[in-house]
Amino acid sequence: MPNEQTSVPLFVANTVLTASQQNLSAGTGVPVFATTVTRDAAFGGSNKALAEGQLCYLSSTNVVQYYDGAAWATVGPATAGGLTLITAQTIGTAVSSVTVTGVFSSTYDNYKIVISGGTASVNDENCGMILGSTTTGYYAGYIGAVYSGSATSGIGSNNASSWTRVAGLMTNGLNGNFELNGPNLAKRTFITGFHVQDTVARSYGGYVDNTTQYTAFTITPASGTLTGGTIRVYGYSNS
Amino acid sequence: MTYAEAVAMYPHDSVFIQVDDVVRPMTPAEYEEFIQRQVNAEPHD
Repeated sequence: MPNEQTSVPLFVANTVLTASQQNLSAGTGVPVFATTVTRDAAFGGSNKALAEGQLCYLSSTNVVQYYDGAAWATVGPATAGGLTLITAQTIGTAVSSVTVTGVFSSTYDNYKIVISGGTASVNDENCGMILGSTTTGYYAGYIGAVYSGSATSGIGSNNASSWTRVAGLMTNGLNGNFELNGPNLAKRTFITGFHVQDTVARSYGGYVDNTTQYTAFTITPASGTLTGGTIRVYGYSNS
Repeated sequence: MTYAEAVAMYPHDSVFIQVDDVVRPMTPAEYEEFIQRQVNAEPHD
């Protein structure tokens, strides 16, 4: 969006006020940010202009927020519900991985991620996921039932380089439905979810063994590529 | 899948990396890692 900004100017004596700065101010009324991450970055650092009563607009979720002196809150009832769509990332054509950035922040402790639509070049339930750039310390248990017969299938993942089975990838559709607890908290991040494959359906849970505060994640099929579909990320209201 | 089969199935100019809305070609190192991933892929249940 043309009105989005990434900084909050702090003018002091003899500072030049440019036309573009004045136009931005006149054109927006309240500062416009792409996401909660760019908002927090703009109000941080030496330009600590954030104070109670500050307003902002988030283009990712189309909401107006105010700062109450301790945290950002959304104006009006639009997001008063428990679940807020943070982003809907369309998957490109023949991509071997999809990274979604700027989705985890201090605004929410817990998140829901849903993958739907689209196609995979091959059927594969081995769809990996990492947080940020972390490629170690992923633990998980995946338990499922194979459609043909009554066999159960349990798979353990011990200090792996990713969570290895977060979504089902099929040539006629992608599916993933999982939740993350605390990816932006300075604690372990936990994952619980489900996926459906052409031959098996699984539920799973796990964690990553560090206290990194993440803002992004990457989905990577173990084989083949993805085309189309959407990765939607929702935040659970903290209160 | 053999290395040659993987390369034939996924030529370098036919596969990409996506970050948010930006889809770009793979670097040679990324492509090599991608091809090895296809070679090492295990059948699922």
